[in-house]
Amino acid sequence: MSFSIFLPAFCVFFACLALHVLAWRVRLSMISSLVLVVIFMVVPSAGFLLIILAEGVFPGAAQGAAGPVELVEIFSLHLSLSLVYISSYPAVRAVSPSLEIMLYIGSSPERKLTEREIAKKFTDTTLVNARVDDLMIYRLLTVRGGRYALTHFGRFIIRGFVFYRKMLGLPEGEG
Amino acid sequence: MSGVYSLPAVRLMFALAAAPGIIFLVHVAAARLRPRASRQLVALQAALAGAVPVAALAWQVSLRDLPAKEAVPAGLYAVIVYGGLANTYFHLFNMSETARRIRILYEVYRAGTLSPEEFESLYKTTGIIGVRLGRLIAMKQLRLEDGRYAVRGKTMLRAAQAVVAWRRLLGLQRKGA
Repeated sequence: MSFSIFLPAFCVFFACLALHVLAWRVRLSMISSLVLVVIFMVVPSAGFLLIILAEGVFPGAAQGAAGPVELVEIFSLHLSLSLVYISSYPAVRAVSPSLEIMLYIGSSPERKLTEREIAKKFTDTTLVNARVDDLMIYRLLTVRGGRYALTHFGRFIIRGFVFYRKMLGLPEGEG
Repeated sequence: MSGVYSLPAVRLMFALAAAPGIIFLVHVAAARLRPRASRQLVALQAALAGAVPVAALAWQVSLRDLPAKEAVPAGLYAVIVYGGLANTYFHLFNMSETARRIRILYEVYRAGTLSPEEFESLYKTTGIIGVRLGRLIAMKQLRLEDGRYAVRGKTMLRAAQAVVAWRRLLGLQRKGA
């Protein structure tokens, strides 16, 4: 392994980040999580596979490019940086009450607020209803006979979380 | 193919691929040993402590076989990849702990179905804020003085300011909003 893998890995990551900013600026963010996965995972995977295949089918075609092991190293480095960004993205996309609370208190004249003053800045619409709408868009939640119900995929996801918390010996999170 | 698997760089990647499982095992032990501590702090500490067994594994299967010239970039690579995986693990745990979407799914899962009215009575804004204020105090980011909350640590405040700046760059928030 040499230092030569770092520059291409960071270049790929920052190119994906630039593409993401560009896509969001032109309002492609309505299916944001999916688009994010495509930009950071699918497109680079296809690129790396193409280079490996090109070298396999036409030896020498990808001359100058790194070898297969180096390509995997570059891709895994890019992947770990991408995972950090994608896992942090929900805080950017949605209203994160914890971060908003810190901003409200930090920007208040005395830098001190009561719980009631903080709660006044939030509404059920921004905190709960928007999340319910998200869950419906992602087909995790549905309405049957005027009542909220889980879809199969929603049940699968929440069972995974319940199992994970059980393994940790923790009760359900408080949301 | 056995030739490829014998390469120290490939063995290092396998060692790093085990990192999420190792962090999880450390977390299971830590969460059971310290049930009263802040859950987020325990998860964060587990993600950091997991670096010790992962580093030992990486050294045993790969790094010790590399010449010094290659060991330095390989070590740096391992630190970056482990950092990324540990950070992602922490976010996954945080999602199970704090995400409103997961809580909503859980409430519907537990009840089978819920009417909008039943749902609203279960999950109110006041409850959401109260829980978060408690967590921010436990994480030493806020302190309670005479019934008013004040900033204690700057980490979350700086993170919130960075998120606002990034949101503006993405066009998700206008200036002044």
